[in-house]
Amino acid sequence: MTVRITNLVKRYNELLAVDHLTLNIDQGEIFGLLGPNGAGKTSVINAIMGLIGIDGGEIKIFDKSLNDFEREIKKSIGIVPQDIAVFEDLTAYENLAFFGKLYQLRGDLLKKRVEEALHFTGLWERRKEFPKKYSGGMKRRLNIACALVHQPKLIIMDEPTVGIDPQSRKHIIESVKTLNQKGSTIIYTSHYMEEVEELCTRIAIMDHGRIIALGTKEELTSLIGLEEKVVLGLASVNYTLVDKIKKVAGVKDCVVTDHQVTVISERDKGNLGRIIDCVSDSESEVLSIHMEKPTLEGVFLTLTGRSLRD
Amino acid sequence: MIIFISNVQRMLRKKWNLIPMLVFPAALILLVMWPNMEGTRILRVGVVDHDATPLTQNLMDVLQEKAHVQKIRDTDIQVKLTEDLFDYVIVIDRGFTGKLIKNENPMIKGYRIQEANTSAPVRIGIESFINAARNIAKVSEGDSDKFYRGMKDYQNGSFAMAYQTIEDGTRRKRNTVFVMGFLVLGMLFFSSIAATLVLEDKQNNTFYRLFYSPLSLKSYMFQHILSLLLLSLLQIGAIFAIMLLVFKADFGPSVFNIFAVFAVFSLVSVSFGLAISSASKNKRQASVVSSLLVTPICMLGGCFWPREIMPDIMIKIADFVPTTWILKAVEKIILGSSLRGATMEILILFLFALIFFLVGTWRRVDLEKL
Ligand SMILES: Nc1ncnc2c1ncn2[C@@H]1O[C@H](COP(=O)(O)OP(=O)(O)OP(=O)(O)O)[C@@H](O)[C@H]1O
Ligand SMILES: [Mg+2]
Repeated sequence: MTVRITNLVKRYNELLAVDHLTLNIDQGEIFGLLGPNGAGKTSVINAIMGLIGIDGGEIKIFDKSLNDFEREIKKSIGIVPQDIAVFEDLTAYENLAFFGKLYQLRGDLLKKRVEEALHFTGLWERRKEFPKKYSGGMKRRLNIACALVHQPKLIIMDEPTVGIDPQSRKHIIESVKTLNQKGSTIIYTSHYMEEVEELCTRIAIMDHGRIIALGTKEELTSLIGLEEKVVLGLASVNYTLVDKIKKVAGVKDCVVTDHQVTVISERDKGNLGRIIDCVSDSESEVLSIHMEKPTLEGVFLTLTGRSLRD
Repeated sequence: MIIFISNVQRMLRKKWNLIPMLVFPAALILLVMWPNMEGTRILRVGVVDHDATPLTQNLMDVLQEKAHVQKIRDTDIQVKLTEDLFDYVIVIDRGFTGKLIKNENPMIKGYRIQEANTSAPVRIGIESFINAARNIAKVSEGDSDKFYRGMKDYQNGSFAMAYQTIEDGTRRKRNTVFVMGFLVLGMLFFSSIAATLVLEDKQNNTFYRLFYSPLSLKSYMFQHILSLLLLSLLQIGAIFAIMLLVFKADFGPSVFNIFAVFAVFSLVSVSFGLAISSASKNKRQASVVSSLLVTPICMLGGCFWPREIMPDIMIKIADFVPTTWILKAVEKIILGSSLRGATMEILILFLFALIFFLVGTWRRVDLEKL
C-alpha cells in the first residue's frame, strides 16, 4: 500500500477541514482526488507530508509512519504544489538543479536527471531563461518538473493544470500518463472533471473534508443511473422513424417534441451510429446531436446538490 | 549545504544588493578620504648627523620605516628644502648622544619649508624615540652600555606599541575610525536587506515547498544565517581592501584585530536583519522598517559624527545601540589597544547579537500558512 490514511482529522481553529477521512492508495495507481474549492484536498496532501499538524487519525506512506521515517519517505515523494513555487531569480535549469540537490542528487546523475526533467516537460529549449519570461503554462510545467528531478516513487500533484491553455493541459495530462507507465504512483487533485475522468484509475470525490464517493469512473457514474440520453434535432420527424429507433438495440425509449427526438438508451451500447442510420433511412436529416452521458459532474451534483465549480 | 550555497549565489546575483553592500559605504568613504589622499605620499627626510653614534643611526633606521631618509651635509639644507627635494630636514648636533645618556636635554633641530602638516608623523616619530631614549637614559644612570642594551630591548619589544600610541598626529587613524562608521551603516543596511530573501521565498511559495523535501527547518535556518554571515564578512573584507589598497588607510597596529571586531559586529548585523525579516510581512515592509531603524541607530552610535558632540542625554541613550559599541571598540583598537583592551565592548556586541537573534527566531516560522 503506498498511502494509507485512517480517520484523518484536521482543524483550522473552528473549521473542520478534514473530517475523519479514510483512504488507501495502491502502488501504480493514478488516484484522483476531486472536489470543489475548500473541500480539503490540499489539507490532506499537507497532512500526508507532515507540513501541518493533524488533530486525529493515522497516516502511513510506504507502510511507514512519517514521524519515524521522515527523511526516507520524503525522499521518495515528489510534490507539485497548487501554487506555483519556483525561484524567480534562478533559471529553469538552475531551479531543477537546486531541487535535485535538495534530494541529494549530485554530479553527473544530477545533470542527467535535470536534462531528463527538462525534456520531459518540454522546457529544454528554454532552460536558460528565468521563469519571469515564461508563459503561465510553461511556469506550470516548470513547477511540475521541479517535483520530478529526483524520480520519486510517489508523485502528488495538487491541481497542476489550473489556469493554463488547453495545449499545455494536454501536454501535462500526457506526461502524467507517461510517469505512471514508468512506475510512479500518482495522486492527482483537481476540480476539472474531464482530467480526472481521463486520467485516473480510481477517484475519490471530496466535499467538506469528507469522501462522499470513491471508486472507478464507471462505478461512480453508475451511482446516478445507467442511462444516457441523445437529443437529435431533425429536419422532419415521422412516426415510423420513432418506431425504427425504438427497435435499435439498447434503446429504451424515444420521445418526440417538435423537431427534436430524445432517445434514452442503456449506457455504453455504442448504438448512436445505428440511430443516425435510421434517420437517413427515413429520408430525414440530422441538424444537431446532443449527447448526455452520466458524468462525474452529474455524480457530484446528485450527491451534493451543488455543482463542482462555482 | 545546498541552501547555504544557493542563497549566497542568489544574494550576490541581485545587483541591487551591491549598493548597500559595497557601493554605498565605499562612496561615503571616498568622500571623506579623498581629500586626505595626498598625505599618503612618502615623506622625504634629510638628516644632518654631526654626532654619528649608534643611537643616531638607530633613529635613522626608525625613521626609515615611515619616510625616505637620506644623509645630507649642513650646507645643503637651504638648497634642498627650497628645491623641494626634502619635506623635512633634521640636524643632530655633535655630542647629542653623550648629553642624552648623561640625562641632559639635548635638542634635535628640525627645518621645513612651509607650515605643512605633512611632516607631523616624522616629528612625532622623532619625539617619541627621543622620549623613550631619555627614559632609558634615566634608568641607565649614565652607563652607556646599559643604555644601549635598554635601547635594544625597547626596539625589539615595545617599540611598535609605544610608537603607535603617541597622543598626537593620529589624524589618519581618526580618519579611519570615522569612515568605519560608514561600514557599520552599510553592514546594517545590507544585512537587513539580504535577510529578506526568506520573505521573498515565502512570497513566491518556494519557502514552503522546500519542506516537502527531506530538508528540516532547523537546517534551513542554520544555512540561511551562515550565508548571511559569509556575505557580511565578504562585505567587510571588500571594504577593508578598498581602504587599504586605494586609500592607504591607517588601521593602526593590527588590521586583523579590527577585522575581528567587525566579524563580531557581523553577528549583530545579521541577527538584526533576521529580526527585521521575521517581524515583517513582506520585503517592502522589511526595507521600510530597516531604513527607519538603521539611520537613527547609526546617528546615535556616532557613524556620522563623533558621539561627543551630541547632548549628554543622547550620549546616554547611545549606550543602548550596538553601533556605539562597535565604534568604541574600533577606536580603541585603531589607536593602539589590543583586543583584550576592548573586551567590554566586544562582550556587549555579543549581547546585542544574542538579543536580536532571539527576537529574530522567537516567532516560529509558520508552516501552517500554506
Ligand atoms: N492555513 C489555514 N488556516 C485556516 N484555514 C485554512 C488553512 N488552510 C486551509 N484552510 C481552510 O480549510 C479548508 C480546506 O482547504 P484546502 O486548501 O485543503 O481545500 P482545497 O480542497 O485544496 O481547495 P482548493 O480547490 O481551493 O485548493 C478551506 O475552508 C480553507 O479555507
Ligand atoms: Mg487546494
